[in-house]
Amino acid sequence: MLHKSKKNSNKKEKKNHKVKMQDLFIEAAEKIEIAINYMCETIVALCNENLSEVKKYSNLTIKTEKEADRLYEQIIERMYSRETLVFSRPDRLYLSNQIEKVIDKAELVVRRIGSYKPSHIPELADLLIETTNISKQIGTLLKETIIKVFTDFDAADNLANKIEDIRREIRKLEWDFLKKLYKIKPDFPDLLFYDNLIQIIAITIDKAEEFADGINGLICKYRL
Amino acid sequence: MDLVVLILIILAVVLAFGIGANDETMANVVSSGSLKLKYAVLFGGVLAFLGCLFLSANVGKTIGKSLLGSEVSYNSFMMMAILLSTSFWLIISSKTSVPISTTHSVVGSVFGISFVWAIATGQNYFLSINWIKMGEVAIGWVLSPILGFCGAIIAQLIITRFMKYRSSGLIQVEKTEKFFQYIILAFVCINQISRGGNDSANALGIIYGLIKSGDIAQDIEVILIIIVGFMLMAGLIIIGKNVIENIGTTAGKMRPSDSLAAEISASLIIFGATVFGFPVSGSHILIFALIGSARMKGITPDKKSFRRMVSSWFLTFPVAAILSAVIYTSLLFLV
Repeated sequence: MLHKSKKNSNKKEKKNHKVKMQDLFIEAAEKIEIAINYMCETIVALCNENLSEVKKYSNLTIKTEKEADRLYEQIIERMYSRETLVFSRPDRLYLSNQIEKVIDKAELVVRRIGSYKPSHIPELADLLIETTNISKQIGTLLKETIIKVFTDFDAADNLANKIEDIRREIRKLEWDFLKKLYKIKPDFPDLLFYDNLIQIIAITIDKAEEFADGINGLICKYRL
Repeated sequence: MDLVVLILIILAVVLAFGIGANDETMANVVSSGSLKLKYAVLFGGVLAFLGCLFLSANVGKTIGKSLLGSEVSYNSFMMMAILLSTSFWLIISSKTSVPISTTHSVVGSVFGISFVWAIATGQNYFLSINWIKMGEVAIGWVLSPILGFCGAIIAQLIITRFMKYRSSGLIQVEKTEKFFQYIILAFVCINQISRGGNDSANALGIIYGLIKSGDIAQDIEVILIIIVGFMLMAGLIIIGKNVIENIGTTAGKMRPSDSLAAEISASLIIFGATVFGFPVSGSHILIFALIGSARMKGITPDKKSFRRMVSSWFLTFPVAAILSAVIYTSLLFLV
């Protein structure tokens, strides 16, 4: 009986391994794009004062983060098999850790949004929506960068540089947002909420940019 | 069989075990992930045994009596002094983790006993050494690391060019590196067989000397070679795994392409030297080859470790000569 169950678990393991480790990384990279998109949709819904949409996209972001966690566990489980070479394991580990960190930050943004219902301030909402448009671009670019690092260093390098350029726009929007916020001087809880929110969004995008920089470093290491 | 001859054979066999125990050839296979340690050690042991069986004869005969002048009568005490001084210096060096060449120790010991022989018999010292043979050996010592260095530079140049075309993405890089793992395995086989032949000759040289002097019957030559080969294999399997594991894990993050150039250069030179009967130091060649490939990649070796290693290489020869001279003098006084 025990022998049979062991045999079954081995079969299951083999079946699981039919998915290439490469595909796990691609799936994890796609989760970054999905999580950032959901995060942006949550912010847009907040700006439109659509609470049911806020709840819906918040839950989807949290769900994506959980799925990314499962993927991370699968990657780690297979990291020390013969699928990878010893020298590239720290770099693969770095990639999977960074993917998880960016998605974690996106989850943090939606959790923050769910913690308080602020007053609607149209000037700030416009800036927030503008921020989400750029964030979505960064999410897509980061996904492409991660996928390309496995197949085309030149393309990955170009994409990583693009992320760096776009991130500057977010930084500018962050300062504009803060200037406007302190000029409007809303109630203290609203001020605190909006101040925190823009900072967490900026941190998420900073994490994405930091990740892109790290990928540039990997490319330098491997490309002769 | 004489008791002294029996002691000499036992000492030669023990020396073979020690040589096997200090063999680090398979370290690259372990560090590049081509083989697991336990398989690498077993595989290396079998290859060293084969090398001893088929490739040791030429080098062994060079290391034996032929290094001494024609006037010198090669006797059992001389052999015992060579074996004891080499084994003693090997143990001291291993204890202090200083890598030395067994070949340098053996030849240094021959110098020591020839010096004592010249004083004891009142003969001219220059007659006690076969300078032509010694010159050939010395040229081999100097040339082999230089060739190892140059060979590694050329090999690294070719590998770098090849890698440039094969490094479009991480998957491609890994595929190429996996391919290099197998090439390393092939060159390590050549290297291990050659080193088995070249290094075991240090122990077999004494046995060839005993056969030539008639102390051992020609009939048991093959049996003795098998025993020496077996001890070489046993040394590598029982103790050698520590050296291999130590070097293999130190270089744990090495890419196969990093060590391939050095491995190609070292294995071809050691193989050539073994086939043509030149006793060379495998460690010296490998280290110079590693330096060559590192220089080609723009990496400077650690100066402190390099200085320590080179000074130990220079020390080996005089220390072994002094030790063998002291042991041989003591044996002459005792008997």
